[in-house]
Amino acid sequence: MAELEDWEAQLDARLSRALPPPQLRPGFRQRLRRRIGQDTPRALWEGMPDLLHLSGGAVATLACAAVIPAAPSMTIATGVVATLATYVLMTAFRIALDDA
Amino acid sequence: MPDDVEEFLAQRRYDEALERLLDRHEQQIYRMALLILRDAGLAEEATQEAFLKARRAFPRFDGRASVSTWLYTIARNTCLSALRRASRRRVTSLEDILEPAAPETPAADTELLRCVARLPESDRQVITLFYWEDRSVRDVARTLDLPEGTVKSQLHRARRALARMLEG
Repeated sequence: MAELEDWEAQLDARLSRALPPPQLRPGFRQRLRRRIGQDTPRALWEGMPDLLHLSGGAVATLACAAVIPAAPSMTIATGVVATLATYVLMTAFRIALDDA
Repeated sequence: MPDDVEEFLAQRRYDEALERLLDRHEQQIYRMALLILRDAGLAEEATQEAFLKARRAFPRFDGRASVSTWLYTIARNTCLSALRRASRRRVTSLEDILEPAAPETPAADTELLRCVARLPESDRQVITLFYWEDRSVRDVARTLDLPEGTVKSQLHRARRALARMLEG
């Protein structure tokens, strides 16, 4: 029994020596802080497609409501549904691209 | 008593919260990434990405889970996404990431590392992390999202398998 415990202790010590913990390279935090600093303007820039899509849909809907000789409420409802549906499609496509 | 990171988050002191999380978890998350991705460069990139995602998501942290559980979930998902992206790339062998402690490491250690590399994936991950994390079953369980009892039984099984390989 004592022999087995001794052998296990030896194995434990060998594993400790053989598996030293890997460390991150120096400068990891500086690189991370730099990325965080660049992230704010990038987040604004990345939000541009959403902003353009939604505002473009709104402008197009209002223009159609003014021009098309149909009930404006119907035109606006159609425009809102179309804008939101294409927005959902665009978001799903973007998520699929990110995961690819 | 609330975690001080949670206090920083509640007070919107995000930079201080991030520094505290880095102090506590950056090495463990890097080691988890290294185990999953088996490439030091990819692991560092995934670690950066995980902390970046956490930093972006700080305003949405709702406190339903502890900050560390939340962070490890983000990190694990980030590593798995990186693994999918890197699946077509060559991955390094286990011996490449299990660097010897020193250039003069005796041959017996190389033999031991080869035995570790021959263990089943789950046992290999548990025993490697156990020694990387200074023999903390709790840290291994948290990193791998496993119950502590499972970690203990896998450690026992892995040690027995290693003993058989070294004797044989």
